[in-house]
Amino acid sequence: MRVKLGIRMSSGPRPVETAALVVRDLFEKSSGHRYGLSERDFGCILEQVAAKYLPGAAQLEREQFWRELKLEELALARACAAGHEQAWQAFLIRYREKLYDIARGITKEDSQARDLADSIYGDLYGTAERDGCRVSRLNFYMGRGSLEGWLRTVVAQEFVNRYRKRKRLVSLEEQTEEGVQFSAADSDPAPSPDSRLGAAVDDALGQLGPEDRLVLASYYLDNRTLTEIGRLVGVHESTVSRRLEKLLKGLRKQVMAGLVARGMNRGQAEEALESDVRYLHVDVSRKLQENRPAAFQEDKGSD
Amino acid sequence: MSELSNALRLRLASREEPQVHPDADTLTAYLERLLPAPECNQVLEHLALCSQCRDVLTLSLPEQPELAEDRTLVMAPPARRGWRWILARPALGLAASVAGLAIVTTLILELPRPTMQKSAGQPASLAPAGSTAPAPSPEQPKTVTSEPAPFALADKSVRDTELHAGVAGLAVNPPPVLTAEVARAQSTPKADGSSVGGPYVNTQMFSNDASNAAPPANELPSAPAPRIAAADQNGLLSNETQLSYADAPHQTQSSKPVRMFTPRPSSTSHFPLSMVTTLGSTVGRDAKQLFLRPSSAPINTFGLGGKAMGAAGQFNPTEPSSEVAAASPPAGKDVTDLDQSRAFTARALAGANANQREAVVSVDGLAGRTGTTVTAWKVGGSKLLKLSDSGAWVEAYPVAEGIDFSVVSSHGLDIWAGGGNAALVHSRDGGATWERITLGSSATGTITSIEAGGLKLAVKSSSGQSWASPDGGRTWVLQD
Repeated sequence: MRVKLGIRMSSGPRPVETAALVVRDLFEKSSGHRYGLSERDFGCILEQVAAKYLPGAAQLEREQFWRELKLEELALARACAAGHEQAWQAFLIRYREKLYDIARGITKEDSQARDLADSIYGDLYGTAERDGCRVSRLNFYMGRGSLEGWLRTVVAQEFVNRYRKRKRLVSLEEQTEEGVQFSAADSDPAPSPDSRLGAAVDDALGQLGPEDRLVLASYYLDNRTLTEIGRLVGVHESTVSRRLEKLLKGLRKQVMAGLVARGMNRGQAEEALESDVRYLHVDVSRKLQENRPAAFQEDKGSD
Repeated sequence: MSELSNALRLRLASREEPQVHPDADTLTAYLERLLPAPECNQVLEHLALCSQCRDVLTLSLPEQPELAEDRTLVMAPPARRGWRWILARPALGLAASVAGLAIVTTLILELPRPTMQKSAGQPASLAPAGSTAPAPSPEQPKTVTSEPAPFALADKSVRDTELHAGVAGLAVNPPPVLTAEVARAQSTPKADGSSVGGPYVNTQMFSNDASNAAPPANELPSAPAPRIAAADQNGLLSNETQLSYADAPHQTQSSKPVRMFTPRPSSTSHFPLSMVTTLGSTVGRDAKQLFLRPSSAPINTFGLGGKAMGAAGQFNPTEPSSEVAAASPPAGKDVTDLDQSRAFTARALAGANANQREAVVSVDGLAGRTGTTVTAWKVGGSKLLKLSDSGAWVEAYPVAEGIDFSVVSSHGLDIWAGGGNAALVHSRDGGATWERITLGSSATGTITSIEAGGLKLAVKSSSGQSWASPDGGRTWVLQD
């Protein structure tokens, strides 16, 4: 049936019946009937997903997009959100334990993990109401990635939000107990470095690709390990290491060239690059320490 | 690692963080490498600027894949390290065995074949059944050959027989089986002492074999039962039959016991398990697995019988005589009745299974006598994997169920597998169909071990729970 559909899809406008057949095909693949969803409900869900990610796209494009979704997990999540009993049973069997494991992995502490997971369960079940209707967080699952991965991300987001919220409320005494050193107020504002240096650096950074900038930011700003960065960008840690070396060399060369192009001689350019250390160190440290959850700074491997 | 210039660090950090973030779906799809390239670039652009999303993504990273792989089960094949695994590939093993078989076959074909009739003092050997009808010896009971069988068939049988013993380094001494025809003939001996049996009856086939030396005539019972009769019944598990051997009852006028063999037509050649087993003992367990794994030919219980009943042609001293009686054909019954007996087969297969506990295989011999299916199971990457006929590991359980498998236990056709969320599945038919087993509502954790022995089952989970079932998985009790 799919082959026939493919042939028809490629030729001319698509009749409504064909689109309905596609939805039926996808519905069967999703096993939505097992969770109490109807074909019509599922069609609405697919339309909603397409409207979010492909607004105004052609039907052919939408159908292609739908086929790449995690249909079974999408049907399960949405059936749970709609309150179907069978779906919840399946969801609990599959993800109950997993959710606690995820929370434990993130918080590294049992009671906090249980608290976090329970809170997420509440959101998933939909303890909040809007216009008299239960609002389940599972309604926001769109099926682009796995449901388990989505749950991980949701738990991580919740953890980060909690941490930030909590951090704002931590008293000075508590911070002192934790050994936080408060810096003295800057008596004298640091002299601003040569504006040519900033422009040259901006130019050099602007020429980097997004992945290279992500690697740089993760390593130098977030203090991530090479392993973590490697998993973020999908390469081996040794590749990250080599890439960082290469990036630094290239950046330095480009900044030097930029400074020379802006009227400095080579000696001045090198001095500008080195001299900023004493002025910028404090600013950078402060910037790095802002909004940094303590958990993120733990467990750093030795790279 | 070189230090980044503070200027670079500052400019990198001072970039304004975006206010709009990708949703959890998009971040998940990015981590799972499911985004199309343009969208992936957008996410990377965002991540380069947004420390919050970088934090979320780092926390969302799943368990390290290599850790998941470490949970590979008990029954995983030996790790392939270095270059030696190349030699242990199934294809090479099979090729080596075929080559060995060819060499032995050639040697046997080229060697001069002695006649079937030997004098009592000469070493026993097998002759092609079609070569000549043995002339009756004055000292020996007469062997009657009604019609010579085609040479190829008889010769093949002989070759198989010699292979069984020769490759294993044993004396040429195939396990004898009394066929129904022979039994009938023996039960009604002629007055002149000659036995009138089925074709190809050799009265002195094994008479000179020390290991099988029969007791003197005066010590023999007057109407002894045949020794390993059931091998005929299960000479092959399939319907095809092969050469059968028999210890004939003591002849009335002979001082030696008469042993006979009866070749039967066989359309296909089979790889005898006994050969596999004995080869395995010399070339190692891996090689045994190699032989066993791709095999789709029926198992010749000839070899299994040898295992279960002791050396060929002998009673196993550890086996009670009642077993022999059970395996023996009742007098007056014909071969179809003999086929009904399962005593020998069951024991033989039990012995075979016991020998292959570590061989990662399960032998399906009893079910319908359909031949042998050799299957290996393992868990890899949280998936339940089965070794297919082509030698590749294929997923054996539907992905849609979403079970992260951690352990599998195979017992013949009974497969038990467990995973996360205390998930437990069971197949009674070697993985063709599965049923989901519910341990109990309070079951938690990942299944870490499954012990299946008959009806009693024990399952442990990572949360420290221990579940037991006394009735093959129908009911489960949480152990203290």
